[in-house]
Amino acid sequence: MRILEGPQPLLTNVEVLEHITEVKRTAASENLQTIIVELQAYLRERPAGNVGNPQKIENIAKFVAAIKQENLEFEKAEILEIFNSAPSSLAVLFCLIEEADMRFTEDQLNKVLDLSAEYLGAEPVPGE
Amino acid sequence: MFTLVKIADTIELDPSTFGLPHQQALHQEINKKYANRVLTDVGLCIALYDLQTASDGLLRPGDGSIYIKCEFRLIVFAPFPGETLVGWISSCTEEGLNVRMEFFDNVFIPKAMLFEGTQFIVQEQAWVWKNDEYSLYLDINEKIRFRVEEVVFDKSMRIVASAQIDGMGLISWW
Repeated sequence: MRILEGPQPLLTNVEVLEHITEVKRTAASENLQTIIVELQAYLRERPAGNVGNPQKIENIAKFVAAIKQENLEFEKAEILEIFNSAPSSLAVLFCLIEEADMRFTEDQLNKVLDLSAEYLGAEPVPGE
Repeated sequence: MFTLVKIADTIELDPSTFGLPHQQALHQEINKKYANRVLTDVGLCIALYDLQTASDGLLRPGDGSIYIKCEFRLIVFAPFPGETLVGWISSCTEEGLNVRMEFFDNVFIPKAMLFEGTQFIVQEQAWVWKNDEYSLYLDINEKIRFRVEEVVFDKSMRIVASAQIDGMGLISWW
């Protein structure tokens, strides 16, 4: 066994969820079935598979285009983290972006939260 | 985060798989070999993403199997330092918090990497973050956001994490 390339490119959670859901139909070995069932359970508790409001794969491109239109410069990994986390507060957004307060104004960061609400769904909150 | 890793490997198809279409047999065998397995210094393999090349089969003397050189990409859970993740508190000890994700349960937040002013309450076996206004409990089965500080590959794979800045800690707080 040799590693030729990677780890790259990064995948969003919703892309992974779509792929494993497809693989599950023909999964033949126990180890594969186990990891798929566990990972599906995990992603149902995240914005990607949020049962009431699952993310849509086509919204990745829409979200990236909207960010670009606002001239917000993010690293690719930051965009994916925002996509996976669907932040709804500045506190959470600050966790996902390096030195957010140095690079962006508060208005810009609030705009990201608006776009998150529009395209990325929400993190399921237990008990709500 | 999840990522793709491209691998070159020789895959064995034993005679029990000869009834299957070639591609299907290779998919099955690659998944059997790699799914839910840790690749040292890389991450936890989830499943085959795509099979890119496969050579003609080779035979070995005294063995009924066919050996095929393949290049393929795997989906791998490869968390990196600085990444923000979400999981569930599985237990609290005086040393810190253990956190599980449904498919990966080896996350530990040492007490030194919890919010300043967090104390362990022995009677309740829980950590409590006391700030000026509130006492906030970090209790079993609560959903918690944390930051990956280090990914360690020893016998298996484990994440050392922190929860000490705004936005971290229980999902319901922020």
